[in-house]
Amino acid sequence: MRKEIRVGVICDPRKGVIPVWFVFMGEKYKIKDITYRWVVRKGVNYTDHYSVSDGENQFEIVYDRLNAKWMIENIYNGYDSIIP
Amino acid sequence: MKETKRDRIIMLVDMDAFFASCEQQEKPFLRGKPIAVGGKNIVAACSYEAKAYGVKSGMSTYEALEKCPSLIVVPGDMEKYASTSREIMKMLPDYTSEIEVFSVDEAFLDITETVKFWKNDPFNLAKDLRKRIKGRFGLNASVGISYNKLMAKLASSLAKPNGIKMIRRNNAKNLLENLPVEKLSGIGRKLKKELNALGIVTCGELARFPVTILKKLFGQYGLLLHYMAMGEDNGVVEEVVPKNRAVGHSKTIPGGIEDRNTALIYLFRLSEMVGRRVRKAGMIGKTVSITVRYEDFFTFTKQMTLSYYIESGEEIYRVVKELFMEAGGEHKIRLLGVSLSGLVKASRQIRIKENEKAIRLDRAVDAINDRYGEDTVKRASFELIRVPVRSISNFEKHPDLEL
Repeated sequence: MRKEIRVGVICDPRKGVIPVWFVFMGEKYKIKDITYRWVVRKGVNYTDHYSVSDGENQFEIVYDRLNAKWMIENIYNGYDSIIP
Repeated sequence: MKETKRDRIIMLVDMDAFFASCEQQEKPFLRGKPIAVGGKNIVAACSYEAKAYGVKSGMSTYEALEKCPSLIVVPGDMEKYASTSREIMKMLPDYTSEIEVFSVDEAFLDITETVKFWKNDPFNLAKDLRKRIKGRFGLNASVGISYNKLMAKLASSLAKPNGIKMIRRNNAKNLLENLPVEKLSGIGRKLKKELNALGIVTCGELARFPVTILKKLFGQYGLLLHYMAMGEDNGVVEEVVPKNRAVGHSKTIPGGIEDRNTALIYLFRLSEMVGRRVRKAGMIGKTVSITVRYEDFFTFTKQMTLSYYIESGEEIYRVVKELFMEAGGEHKIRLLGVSLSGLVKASRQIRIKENEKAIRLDRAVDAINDRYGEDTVKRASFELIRVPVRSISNFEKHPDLEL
């Protein structure tokens, strides 16, 4: 899934861009923890991936630098096995 | 760790169960559980919790699930691991400038000159680095420290998981005596079998085995095996530029040229340009390639790998000339290209003394041309063959050969 979302961020000169909340399907989720972040390059574009938690669920949200858009990539609520 | 003056202090930083740990950090609900990273068919990596059940990398997913029914299989994401790896590798220059990235999750550091900033104790440096990696990514790294790369690699494997191990030269012999040969980096399953068939099980036995027989059986590698068993390794920590990287220039010649001597002039000019860029990047290389494209679009490519590193245009041209002699073709030449690959950082190269003067001259000419513009100073030999500098000053760069 890749759905566009609204995200509130803090731009920290040392830590970079830190997402603090996002709105998905009309509901606002407060980010309690950023568990991981990484960058993916596709051609000339870079996307910043954040694995975040609202305390209950785990989300992967993505910032598309070229198009200046935030998207939700994955939602996890715990699973036993994922076989691609 | 200063047993002898010539001993270096080499450190190998090796991430523990890297792919699986990245997944566990990203998805906290996987932490502490047996997980495997891979697909429907194969396990690419697994967590320590899965290893406890006998799950191994390279195993089929079916077999892994049989060994560990509670195994959670997650799809791999190389972009994620590569991104994390890049960030970790970016930390390393804070500890030394002599770094060799060995794989996505391993790097050698020569800390001989910098350990003094950590109270002359490699453990202090290793602890600091491990703490930073843990703090930033939540990942564990094991560190092996020793007097060469081979022994540092062995030390890191003994340090796993999540530890630091140092092998000093005076302990090495005792350690190696009863160590199974397959514990040494470079001795895989197949070679282990062959050595076992010779009655060689431990490194001590390998060290005592007659070198002449080893050489007969394994060629030059036999000699290397002998030294490895004694804990000797001459490899230096050097920054390796990925093999597909090269510095190159090519020139499309409008209308084409028939005269081979004119082609050589272009090649000389291209070689000079390649040399200049290589020096600017602080690199040296040993594989020279040429491309000759004819007007019927037949393309001749040839490369030669030297046993030593070069950086000057003249040296590159010497090889290019030799390679060009092998290019036949009766048609007009439409394009010429020269590239230098097999690049490493120039700082670690031991040079032949007679080259030193030429290298210093190149550098001095580069400095002047950097400041006052290209061709302010150029070789007299270049002038003698009347290179049409202006007409070929807008040489194109190989888009796919960019450094």
